[in-house]
Amino acid sequence: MSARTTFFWCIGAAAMAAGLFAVGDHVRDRKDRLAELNRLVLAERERIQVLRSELAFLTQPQTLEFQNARALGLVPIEADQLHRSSFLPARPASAPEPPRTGVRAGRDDDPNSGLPTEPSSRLSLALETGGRQ
Amino acid sequence: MKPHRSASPALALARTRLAFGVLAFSVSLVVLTVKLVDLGTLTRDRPPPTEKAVSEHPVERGDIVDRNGRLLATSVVSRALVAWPPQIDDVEAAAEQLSGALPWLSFEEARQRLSLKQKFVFVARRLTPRDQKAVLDLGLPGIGLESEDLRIYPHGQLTAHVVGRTKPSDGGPVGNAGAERRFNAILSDPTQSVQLSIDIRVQHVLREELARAVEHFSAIGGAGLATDIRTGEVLAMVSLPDFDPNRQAKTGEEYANRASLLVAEMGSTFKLLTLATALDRGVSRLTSRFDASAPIKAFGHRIGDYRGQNRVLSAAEVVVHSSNIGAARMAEKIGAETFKEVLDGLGLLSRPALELPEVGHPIVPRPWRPLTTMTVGFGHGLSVSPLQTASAIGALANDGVAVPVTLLRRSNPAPARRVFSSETSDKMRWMMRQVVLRGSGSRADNDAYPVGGKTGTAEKVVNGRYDRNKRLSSFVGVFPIGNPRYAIFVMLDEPKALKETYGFATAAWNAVPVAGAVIPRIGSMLGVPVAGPDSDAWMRRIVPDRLLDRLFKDEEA
Repeated sequence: MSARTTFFWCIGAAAMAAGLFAVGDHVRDRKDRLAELNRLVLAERERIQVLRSELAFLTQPQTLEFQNARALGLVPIEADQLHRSSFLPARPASAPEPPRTGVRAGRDDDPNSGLPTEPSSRLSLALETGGRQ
Repeated sequence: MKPHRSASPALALARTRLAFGVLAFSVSLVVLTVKLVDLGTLTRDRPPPTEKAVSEHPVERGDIVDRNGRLLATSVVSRALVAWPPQIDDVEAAAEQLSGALPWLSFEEARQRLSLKQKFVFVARRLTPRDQKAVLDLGLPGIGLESEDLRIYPHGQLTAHVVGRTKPSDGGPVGNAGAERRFNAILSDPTQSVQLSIDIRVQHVLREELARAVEHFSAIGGAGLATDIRTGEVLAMVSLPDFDPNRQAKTGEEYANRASLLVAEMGSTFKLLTLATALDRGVSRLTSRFDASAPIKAFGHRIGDYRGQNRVLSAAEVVVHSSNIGAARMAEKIGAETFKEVLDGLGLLSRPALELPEVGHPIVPRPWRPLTTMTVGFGHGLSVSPLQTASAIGALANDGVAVPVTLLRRSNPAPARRVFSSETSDKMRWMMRQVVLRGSGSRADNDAYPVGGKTGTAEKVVNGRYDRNKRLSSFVGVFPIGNPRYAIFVMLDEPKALKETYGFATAAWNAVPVAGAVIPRIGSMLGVPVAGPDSDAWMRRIVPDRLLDRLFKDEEA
């Protein structure tokens, strides 16, 4: 083996060692990062679990009832308050036309439902003129 | 020349060896230098490979949720104060510092724990974040924090008997009762959860109204059930008294699930089953007559009526007036074998397959004597659980089809079996509605969700004898009875008579009003369509009005 060959082998070995070192360091970095992320995920899961539990405690029916009684005063619907719209009697055919009130009937999903049909107010004027008067 | 020739190769060999030696030395030097640089400058701060002061671990148990995904049981990580006694040099000093940092921990207690001749000991559990910081700030060797699963039940008493509880073990919490125990294998995998059929809203309403009645009538306990009769799902299951699974129960009595574990004679609610069997097997029609003018004396026993009519009754009247005599005669006519076959088909003679460990076995009389057939006809002699009763009456109203009860949310139809014909089921719905309209169930009715049902008041057996002062009063109802969907069962254990109930302690006065208060509240929650005017029109299709005077004597008046 000539001195030149030995020299190149040494250079090659050194380069390989440096390369392996760099890769090893990189892997170590990644592993550290992974461990850190796992720890964060675990901590985050723990926090979410605690929040879910707290939410469940806060939304207990008894708690909601208490808060309602304290702040809102809502009461359960009585049976005689419940009716179906389909059972409302139909308007008799001979009934007189109701007086115009300026309010038209509309569907719930109609954004203009229930708005005055005539520009009798500043609001309706603004709507019909696109806000320009 | 010879020595010169022989010395030259030796020199060459020596030189080669020297070169390899220098190379090996150089490589070693380089490796050491590189490692030194790595350790000295490049290596990040890594935690030492020794034991950490705070251990981390994920929760080890899955959640239990209700049918709408509301959390019923979950686990959170809690920290325990732990010690490795062999690593503690001065136990007295460590105990003093710990008791100083944690005001609730006495010096004696700390010293006692730290002095134990063990490698590892728990000193205290469930430390608050502030306590944890106080312990870590001390920096005591041999003292640390250990993470552990803490099982919590956000709804506490509300779902105690259904969800159950856990007990600590070396491998983490283990199910000890209720769904926790039944589904322990599934819940042991933290990635799994169990979804119950319970609706926490319905559960709350049922428990609230039942608890109010238990207190008002000074009963020693109560049970309540709400089931979906089409799917067999249990929407609510309440047993009082109950306990908070987050704490230790005060008495063993609180652990008993009266809704599924208790078996007792259910009394007059069974008359519905007797009539249904008689109608279905062609033994009787609604207009058939049964002599209830005088008590029956058979096999050395006397069967009488409570507030009897003392006359011949139609089959419909037997149920509406809750005649024991009429029901006994009807059962006798049905015969033991046929009656047992139907009761077995309804699941009343075997243990129900509900997913709870606390499910009672019915007490079936052996041998089954002729008198047994008669007494079972009015709900005595055969002890079953409220769960079985609700399930059987549900099948009666569900077109005669029995669906096995379940505590799990069902996404697929359950295997069902027909016990009664559709025609019988229709007649029995009509009958149950009559009990509410003109019988003892009137206080269960409301305008929005018409109810059909039957009351039952049974005397409890104490020391082998019926005690007239200790009763189980119950009501089983189905709503909306025109298009039945839900069954509700309410039972009070030893309710007391009050002045406002005119001295009565029967189901009509105490159990029925509970159902009457619950049904309108849960009807809208469950999305039951509100009944319209003439909501009982369907009844005329089953029994025309012109037949009413043949069925009920009071119609003639």
